Parts: sequence; C-alpha cells; structure tokens
Amino acid sequence: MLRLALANIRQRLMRTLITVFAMFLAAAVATSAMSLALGIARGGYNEYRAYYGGDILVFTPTFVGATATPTAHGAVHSAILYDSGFSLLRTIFPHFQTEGYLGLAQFPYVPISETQLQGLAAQAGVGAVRPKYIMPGAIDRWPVSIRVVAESLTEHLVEGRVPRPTSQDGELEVVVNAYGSPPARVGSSITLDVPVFRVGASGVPQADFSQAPRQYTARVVGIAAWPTREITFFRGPEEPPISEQGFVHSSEVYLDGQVWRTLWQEQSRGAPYPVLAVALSVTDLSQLNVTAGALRRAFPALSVMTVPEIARHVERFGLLDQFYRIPAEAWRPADGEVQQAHVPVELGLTGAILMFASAGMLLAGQMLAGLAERRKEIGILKALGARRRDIVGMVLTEGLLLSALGAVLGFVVVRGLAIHRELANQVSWLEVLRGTLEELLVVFGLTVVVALLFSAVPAAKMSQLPVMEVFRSE
Amino acid sequence: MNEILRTERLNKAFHLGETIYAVSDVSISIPAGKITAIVGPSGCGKSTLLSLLGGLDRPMSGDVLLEGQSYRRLSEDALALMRRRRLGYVFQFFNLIPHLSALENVMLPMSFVGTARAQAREKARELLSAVGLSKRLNHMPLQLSGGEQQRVAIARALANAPSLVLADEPTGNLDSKAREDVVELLTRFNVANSQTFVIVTHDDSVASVAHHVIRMADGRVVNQA
Repeated sequence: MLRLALANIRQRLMRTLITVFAMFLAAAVATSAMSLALGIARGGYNEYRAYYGGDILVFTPTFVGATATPTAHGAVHSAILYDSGFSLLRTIFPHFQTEGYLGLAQFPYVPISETQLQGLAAQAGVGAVRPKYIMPGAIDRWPVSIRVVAESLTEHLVEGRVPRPTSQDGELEVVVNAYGSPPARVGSSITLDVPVFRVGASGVPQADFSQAPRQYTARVVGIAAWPTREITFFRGPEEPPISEQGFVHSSEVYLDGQVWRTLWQEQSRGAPYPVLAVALSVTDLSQLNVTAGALRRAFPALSVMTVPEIARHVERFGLLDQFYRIPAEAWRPADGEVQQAHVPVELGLTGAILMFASAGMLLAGQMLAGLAERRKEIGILKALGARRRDIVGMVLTEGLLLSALGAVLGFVVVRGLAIHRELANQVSWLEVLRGTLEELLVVFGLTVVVALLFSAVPAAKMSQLPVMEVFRSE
Repeated sequence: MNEILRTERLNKAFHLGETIYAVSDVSISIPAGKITAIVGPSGCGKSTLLSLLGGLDRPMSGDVLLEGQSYRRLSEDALALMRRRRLGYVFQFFNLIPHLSALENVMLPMSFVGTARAQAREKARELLSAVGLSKRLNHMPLQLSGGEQQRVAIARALANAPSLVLADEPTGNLDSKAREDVVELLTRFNVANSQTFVIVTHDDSVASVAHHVIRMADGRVVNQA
C-alpha cells in the first residue's frame, strides 16, 4: 500500500506539487516563527542571560567612584568592572550572580527604592524581578559569606536538600560548601557568626566587624559543591600534565532568602536592604527592546540596559573573562542595532497554524476532487481483496507523505538558516540540537495532525465506495 | 463430482423504476479443477452472477458456498480476506492499476497477504514469464497492447495461487489472436495447476474449452451441461 501511495503521489504530480508547496510554506512559517523570534534567546543570549539572571539589568547610575560616569553605559561599565575586577569569585564562578554573592562593596551607590522596585515589577512586559544583593562579608571570617539560596543550588547539591524558609523546630537550616572550612556534615549543627550590618552614608551595605557578631545555631541540611574550570597541574618537563575538575574552596553557607532578610533585619536594626541592581525577565523576548524602551521612559533616573547591549559593551571593553565572552559580531546586525524579531512568537505561531490549516484544506480538497478519477482504482483494489482499512491506510499514507515532504523541505531550509546564524553566534551544538529537536517536534507534530485530520474525510469516502457500483459505472 | 462452489437459490434484483431480477433463483454447482463457462445473451445476468460468486456483491436472498463456507454471515472485511486468499479475478477491461508497472500490478495481491517483497517480485516474474511477458515486466499498462494487458491481469489473478479464478468476458475486448492466446493460457493453467476457472463469456471458442457450461437467460439458469 505504501508503494501504491507513492505511485499515486508520482502520478498526480500537480496535486503533489500544490500540496507540498502549501505544506512547505506552513512548515517554513512555523519554523521561522520559533527560530527567528527565539533565535537570539536560544543563542548567545541565553548564555549571557544565565550569567546576569535576567533579560534586562536596571542599575542605579548614581554612585561615587573613580570610574563613575553619568551615562548609563558608564554606570554599567563601572558596575561590571567593579563586580568582575574586585570580586574575582564572581568572574570565575558566574553562578554566584543570581540572588546573592560575596561583594566587598567599595563604591557607594544610591539604592533603588522600594517604590521603584514595585514600579519595575508593574511595568508591562516585565516578568520576574530579581534584586541583586551585595552581601557584606569578610574573606577571613567564618562564614566568609552568607548567600541567599540561588536557583542553581539544587544542581550543585551533592548531599541533602535545599534549606526551607522555616524549619519545624525553628532552627535555621543551611547548606554549606563541601570545599569550605570547617568541614560539616548533613544533620550536624554549626555556629554562624553574623556580623552587625549597617548601611553606609551613601547607601552601601557593610559588615561592621568592630562590634561583636551575633551567633546563630544552624542545622546543616545539605552539602553543595561548585565546580569550576578544569585545573591542569604541570609536573615537570618529563611528566605529562594532569587535569582534574576544580571546585570553589570557600567557606560559605547558603540559606533561604526569607531567613536571610530576617537576619539582615535583626543585625541591621531594621534598616531596609539596599538594592543596587535589579535583573528583570521579560514575558516576551521578541519585545525585549520595546520593553526596555518603555522602562527607560518610565524610570529616567535609572540605567536600563538589555543583556544583549551589555554583552556588546562587555565585548567592546573586554570586561569579562575570555571564557564568558561571545564575539561582538554576534550581537551586531547590519543596522548596528540589536537584532530582535518584532513579531511576537504567539502571532507567528498563530499564522503558522492558520497556514497549516489552509494547507490541510487544500490537501483535503485535492483528494476529494480526485475521488471521481480514483473510483476505478479503489474498485480494483477492493476486488483484489483490499479491506476498508487498507484503503483508509493508503489514503492517509498519501496525505502524510505529501505533507511530510513539504514540511521537511520547509523545516530544513528555514532551520538550516537559523542554525547557521546560531553557530555564528557561538551557540553551543547542544543548544542548537536542543532547539532543533524542539522545533522539529512542533512542526512535525502539526504536520502529522493536519495530514491525518484533513485526509480522514477523503479516506473515509474512498473506503466506502461499493465495489460493484464502481464497475457498473464503467 | 467434487464441487468447489455452490449457490443456493440466489436472487438479485435492481430497482430501476421497476424491479428487474438480474439473477433469479439460481442454484448451481461448480466442479473443482475444471473450467466452467457461463454463457447467455447480453443482459441475462451472467456478470451479476459472477459478482455474487466472487462476493463483490450481496444477493437479496440465497447463499453462495465456497469450499463449504457460506458468504451469508461474512462481513465486508471477511469477504475481502476471502477474495485475496482464495479467489482470482480477471475483468473484461483488464482493470490494471495504470500507474503501476506490469510487475507491480502482479505483485499487488501478494502484498495484501503479506508476501515478502523479494518473494513477491520473484513470483510475479515467474507468472509474467509464464504468460509470455518476461520482456515487459517494467512496462506500464498503457505501453502494453490489449492482449498483453489481459495476460498481465491473468498473472495478477493467479498471484496468490487461488483455488478459484473468476473471469468476466476475458476475451471480450481482444482481437482474435489475443483471444486465442488468452484461451490457451486459461486452459494451460487449469491443467497445470488444477485450478478452477469460472468464465463468463459470449465467446464460443472459450465455451468450447469448458468442461462444464451453464447457460442463462433472463436471470435464470436454463441449461447445465
């Protein structure tokens, strides 16, 4: 029956070409709706996005320091330089840049107010709002840093679980670094020396170690290990070097954000926590620039930069470690602006679904129109012993083959272009593969559904032709 | 007489303004391994009877029994399964699938019974060689003469080695030479394979090779010899 379906496809060339072309267009539109609208997000953008914890960074531009400039770019430049230059840990281990990290704050900032935070959250197109805390700490005291649990903590747990906001017995729950000091095990209790916090005159949170820290008892509920790059040891001219996985060796504890805020309240005597930067996620990546523009208009006192803009800035000034750099060309289309599709994904997909439906109707129409000329063929097949289900199978196979042929062509052409662009953007093969499979599933899922749906009626009609009536009408 | 097929008081009528009985109260017995010819004037119900024998059509009343199995309770699908395994069909107008080659047309019934493709191809080659078309395997039906097409149709009817082959005016659309060839083929296969042939025909040369002749008029069997 497959062979017969193939022969029919060859025989009815015009029908084949029309249907294949319609399916080609539908698959091409569906693929481009996903590839082009999400291409940047899926490409280099995703890597920067993970690094910064959002799609847009909002900074307070007012701060005092040697590298300060009044411009937004200057502020970001300085902030990145400050973060990467003075907090070496953050440069090497970008996962610290989520909600909390060790920051030996040196430059005084004017914090973003609570009203501004609420305003940012209420802005159209803004999804999650993640304040970026700079935690006071000291590198020579235990714990070096108290961090708020980050999303990535779960991935790095080697034992136990993440801490809860409140334990049943009221004890603090913490996760400790496996490579920190002193060593700890799950279920044991440790003492946290939490310093007195204060906010400096210019708004910078600081740890005041001139006063005695308060001791909190915390139960260790998990152990985490933070992998770094592979470390290579050179053992002399005769010996081959040895490479092994490195880990962060830092005495850190992680606890829930709500608990941390309580500690802050208790140790700062009720001072509000100064937020100096905010990472925002947008609800529609294709509207990234539009959302950023609206934020700039609504908050003229703040510096608003999209992550692609920051990425270009980082590349231009060589601010980050080479390891995290993506070539600037990746972000620079012909007109010098960050390339973003301005058609929302939903609209593109809606168009694609409509095109699939149209292609399906065309397929059904072509098949129904061919019903009269195929009466004899169906009659012969039935006389030779074909059952109804054989005829249905043959017609559905034809519909599927025709649709799949067009869909394959449309998908390969458009996805091929998208892959070319993604690879040029230094997107990893794994990301490209993941995106390709994801789109493949959607496009071919739609193709199969449309092909079966719209071939079903012609298939049913053909299978019901009474064999003798076919021959009598000859 | 060892019978392969039997009918019991078959009736089939068409309603064309008035009710016309194409087959009326027909009870016949077809001997196994023989050639049976059904003859009679045009419109006497021969082809309708053949379609009833092949399970292509349902009678109003009566029954057909193939090797003792009644058609009456068989569903459409069960009849189709029976046709593909136990019956072969040869039509007056050949009825080859126009966009399949001669070889593919012969392979088609074998694909219904799940014969492996290579095996089906080999069997189809053998059958087409047996009907003298070994050099026409890959020709499309339109590239073949009427006689050649009918020979392909005969090869196709024999593809699954059916016990019974039904032929509806197999020579009706052929010239005299092709007619002789087809008659020779049918008799050869009958002798060689002991297959039963039921042939509806106007053609005396066909009727003359039959072991058993059923004569019909006005939907009724008027003579069996």
